[in-house]
Amino acid sequence: MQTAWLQAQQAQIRYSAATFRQLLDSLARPGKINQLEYPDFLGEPPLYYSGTAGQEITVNRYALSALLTLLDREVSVGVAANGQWLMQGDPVVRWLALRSGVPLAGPNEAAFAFFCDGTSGGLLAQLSLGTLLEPEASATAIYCVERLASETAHPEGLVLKLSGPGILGVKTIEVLGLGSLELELIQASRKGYPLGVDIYLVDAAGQCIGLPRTTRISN
Amino acid sequence: MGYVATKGGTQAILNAELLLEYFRLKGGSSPIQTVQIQDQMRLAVDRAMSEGSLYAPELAALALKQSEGDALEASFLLRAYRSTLPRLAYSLPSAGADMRVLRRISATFKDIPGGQLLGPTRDYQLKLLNKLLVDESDQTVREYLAQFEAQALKQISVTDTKRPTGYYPKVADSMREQGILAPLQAEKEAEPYDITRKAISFPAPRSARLQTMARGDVGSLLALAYSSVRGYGDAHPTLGELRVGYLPVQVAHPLTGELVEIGEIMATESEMVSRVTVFSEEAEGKGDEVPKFGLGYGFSFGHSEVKAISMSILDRVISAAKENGVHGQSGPAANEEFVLQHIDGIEASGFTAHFKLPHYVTFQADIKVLERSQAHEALRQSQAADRRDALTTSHKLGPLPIAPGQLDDDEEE
Repeated sequence: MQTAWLQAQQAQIRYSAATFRQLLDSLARPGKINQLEYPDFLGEPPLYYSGTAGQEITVNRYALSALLTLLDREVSVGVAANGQWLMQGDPVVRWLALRSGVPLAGPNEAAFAFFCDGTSGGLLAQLSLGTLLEPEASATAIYCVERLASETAHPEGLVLKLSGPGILGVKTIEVLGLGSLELELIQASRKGYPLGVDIYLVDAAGQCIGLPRTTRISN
Repeated sequence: MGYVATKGGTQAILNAELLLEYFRLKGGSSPIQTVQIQDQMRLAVDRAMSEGSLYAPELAALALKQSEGDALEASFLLRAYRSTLPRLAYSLPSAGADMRVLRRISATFKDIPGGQLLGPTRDYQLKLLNKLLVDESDQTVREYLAQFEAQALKQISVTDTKRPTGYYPKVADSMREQGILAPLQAEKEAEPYDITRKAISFPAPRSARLQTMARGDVGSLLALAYSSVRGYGDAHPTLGELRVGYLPVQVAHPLTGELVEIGEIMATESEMVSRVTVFSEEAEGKGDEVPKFGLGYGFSFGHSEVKAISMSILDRVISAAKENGVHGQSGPAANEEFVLQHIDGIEASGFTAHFKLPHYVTFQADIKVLERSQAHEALRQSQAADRRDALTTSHKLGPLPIAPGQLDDDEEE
């Protein structure tokens, strides 16, 4: 019993360190697809009600575990699904709080925002952009999308053309499952650079890209 | 020479690291065990924990081994490791009175409530090298321990056992009762400032000042505190109380909210008492308060008396300067910003060490500026010389008869 607990602890420490490096790399090289590790020590992820599926489904475990590596009592988080912020006591919020001690915060105060699906429903605009004196006080948002690919194959996919620091020329990414309005919201959030929200997209297979506020996105 | 790239040298760096390891080991003596450092280099471990601001004796011992005893490097390693740790909980405030005391002394009164307790100290030893330590063996250590334990047992049996051992009232409390020490002031901020989360800005709250000093470099704290008491300042403090012992650490249980003691840390606490001197005329006439002594507070992880005392002197000096609205007029140690920005050993040594990094481009720019000013100076000197020459020539020519036609030209010059 004791050793199993200890092994899970060890696995989580190693996972956290490796995942943190990947998250850093994703922001340093926007649009580079990183494969996140499978967090097998975490057990079953919590359920949330998905409007599109019409039933309760499990949260993207890769994205949720990646978020967990960034949380402790010092930061705060907001979690949303179907375009609504989840309340204290919601299974997803409780799951995160139990494992990291992270407090739930209002949208303009949260250091991290987690969108269980690929649409924030406008909630992205409520997040903190930082201040000119402290641009680092801005929020970081994670979207759970369906699929990320570096080649454009699906007619229904959203094509993102990325340029800016960390990208040689232009990088093209195809995203399935990101709400059509989100691109405009993301673009609007970084109009006042250096203010802005840094974004991660994580797909169902654990592929991850970073879209820091320095990245220009067009389609 | 134009642009010089700072790339390359990877192999040289790798070799330098191999060589460093070789120099650590080349003596061929048996490898030092970290537990030996933890036990027998107790004060070095305490210093690394204090300045690295991480209470972890095993890791501090490892850091000292890795850094070959370099105190700054060891504390740097610890603080770097600290930055990777998640914050699981906040400890609750604990008072010095809760300390299980090993040592507590006061220089203000001989008879303090509870009495003076010397504890483990070198204060009364002659500074003579003890050659016996060269030949210390397992056997001599065992013999000493057996002898000490026998003697200690005998002494404990005759001492008063009614009082719980190790707990003593605070000297500062009895001074407050006597009305000679200013009462405790309620903190203005609900939560203490957290210098690890937010860069310090000035004027800083006292909590930020105390945190910065508590992880400051002992040498830097000492130098500034010494400057203030030796003459570049007006501090005349007396040691109210110095205590060394074990302080309980409590947290609120994350689910039930109940207090849970999760362990204890060894710590040193110093309280320095001094008269608050009023410098400014403005402050002189204000209020009809009864004059009282003020208190300076010092704290350090582990057993570190010089650090705690230096910190408490600086706290007192800075508090006095702020209370009276004079910053740095009574010496550099009274300038809060000057003190707090320069006492962090890791920041200071890091900045100093960065001068070893390539500054080729910076220096090229410096050379360009230097060359321009040299050229400018050369031009200025040659012009001055020309003028001098012209003057001497005209002076020499002066007595000579001048042809009428030349006069206009000379004047123009």
